[in-house]
Amino acid sequence: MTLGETEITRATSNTDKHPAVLIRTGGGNAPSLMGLRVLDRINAIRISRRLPPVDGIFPIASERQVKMLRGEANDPNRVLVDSRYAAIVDAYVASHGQFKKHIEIVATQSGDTKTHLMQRFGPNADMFDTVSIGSGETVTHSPKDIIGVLDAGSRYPGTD
Amino acid sequence: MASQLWQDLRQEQLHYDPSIQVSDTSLAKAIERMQEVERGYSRIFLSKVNSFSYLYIPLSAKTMEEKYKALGHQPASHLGVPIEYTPPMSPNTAAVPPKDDVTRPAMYVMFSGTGSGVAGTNALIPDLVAAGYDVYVSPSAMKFGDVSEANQRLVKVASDPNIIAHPLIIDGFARPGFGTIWDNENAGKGTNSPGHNPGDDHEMAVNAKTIAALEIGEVLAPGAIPPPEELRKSKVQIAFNAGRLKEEQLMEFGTKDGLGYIAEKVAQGPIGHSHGEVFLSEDQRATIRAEEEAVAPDVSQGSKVPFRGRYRHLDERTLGAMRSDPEDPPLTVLEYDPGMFAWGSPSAHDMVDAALSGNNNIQVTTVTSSLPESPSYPEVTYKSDLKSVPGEFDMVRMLHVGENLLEEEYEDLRNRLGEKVKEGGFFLETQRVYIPRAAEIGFQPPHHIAIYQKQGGTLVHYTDFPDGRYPKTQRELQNFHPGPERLYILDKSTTEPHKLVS
Repeated sequence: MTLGETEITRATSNTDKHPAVLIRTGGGNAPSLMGLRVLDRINAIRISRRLPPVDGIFPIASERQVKMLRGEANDPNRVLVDSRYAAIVDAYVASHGQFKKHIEIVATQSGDTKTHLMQRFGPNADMFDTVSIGSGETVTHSPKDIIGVLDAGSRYPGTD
Repeated sequence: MASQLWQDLRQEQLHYDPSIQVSDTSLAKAIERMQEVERGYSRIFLSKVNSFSYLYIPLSAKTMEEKYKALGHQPASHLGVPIEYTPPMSPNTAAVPPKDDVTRPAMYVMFSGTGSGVAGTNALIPDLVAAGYDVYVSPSAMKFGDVSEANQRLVKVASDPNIIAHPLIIDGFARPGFGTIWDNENAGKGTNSPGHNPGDDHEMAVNAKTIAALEIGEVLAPGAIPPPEELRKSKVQIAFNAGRLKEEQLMEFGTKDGLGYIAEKVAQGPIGHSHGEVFLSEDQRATIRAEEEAVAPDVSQGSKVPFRGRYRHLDERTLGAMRSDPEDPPLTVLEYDPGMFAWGSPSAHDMVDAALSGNNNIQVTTVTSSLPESPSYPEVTYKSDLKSVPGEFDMVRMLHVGENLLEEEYEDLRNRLGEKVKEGGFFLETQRVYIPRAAEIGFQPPHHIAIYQKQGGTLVHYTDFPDGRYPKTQRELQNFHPGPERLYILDKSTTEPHKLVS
């Protein structure tokens, strides 16, 4: 018997080398900023534990919000924006100021939105592209990289 | 919670003008959708002072101490999801005192919300000035024309968004959204508002009730402003209450930074750890720690290292299956991660400590991802201590298999070991044990990479854990320790196994 034929069982795996957290937001700057602050602090903690920092994936497409996050982030390279994700949830976020419309959207569009979110981030979804607001480069993630979800006042369906 | 707010609106809007009412059918559906979202949370963080806090503050509570105590009775869960209460969740991290040169008692007036909200806010400014206050507004309120022409000469423009924290700013005046309330709470200032406009976000109406119940603000409706003397009195009282609320929250949480507080809590769970780690509760850790201390008081620095207190469980099922096969020797080689023992906590520090205390001439393998130019604790601490040990060390890297290795590095290590093992017909096991102050209890230092020879087709080693029980104490561990003759430590440069000299 040699080791070559021996199955190696990893009792625990610590090799999540490309972890990401999905950030869910509502209208205005505040939810994104809240998500960012929590992400930054979590990464400080992870680094102190010598774990790789996590990427935060934000549903943001507007240059104004990108600029805001870039100015506020501890490490802009850890902040990824996903315009496809932003498009899927845009109706919920944009309607925050118009209450009647907002309620209609939540009441009527949740089913479709859920489908689209699952296609993007669900367990059977493909790899997806995001853009790092630090480097400006495309960062590709697998849905399996998502180790957690932080919700800062979103009104759209979950991906569980 | 949005579902709660909308539930409340369903009742309240019956009193509204039908033309601004939201369709009840839509509301009911939207509530259902939001409840689905909320049920999906694993836990909910809610600021201690939140929209519905007013429901828990009885009229009999007069002082802030009594009111704050009543907040302790807020629900522990929502739709079955546990709620953890937090300090204000303001993302505003300004810690420096505001720069604005405020010279007289003043109010900070923020414009937000709908058109009528802006008009209501404008209507108040002359009254505030008449009551003797300077009125500050944000640059954007001037820029975007929120401040009426008539009021422009009455107000001053605040250059610092943190002006609310200025000692001479008595209170804030704003639409009572939580972004503003949190900032004001942290500054120990009240939040006054122009009153709710039924077409506006219902949350504002609910928030105002909590502000009223805590007496940290009041509704100053245009045309119903109390006379200057009375207004000043109530502002002073509100500022006092808000200051007390700030104190109460600081006393409870020890921080004003709700988002940092949440991050700390989140990081206690999977997001703060490696995949597959299981962590024990505070109570469980305390029990284990007490047991450890009873056996071998840990007076080393080990009790203070960041790794201390992190516990993991071995995959019982895997190990159980391996042991329960009496016919065949186990075919699976198990790789132990650090700190696997139910009672133990991993720490490279303790490993080195134990080895050095045992006067062992050790060669330390190179495994963790720390680099000489950016050493991280505990390596950096022990680099100097190791000077007394024969041999040259560029750095000290302890085996944290899987702890924080990059996948490639880990695989490389395992492969190199694997090759070595195959050549000699050995079995490989990577393993760590935790022995604080090993020498003091007369214990042999632990090994961290060990290679065992196959003996008649049986891996004797596994019998060291009878009945699936791991050693729970150092004394139990002594019985399991294989002894120096079977212990090898890999040389960092050659990967040749060397016998440990004890």
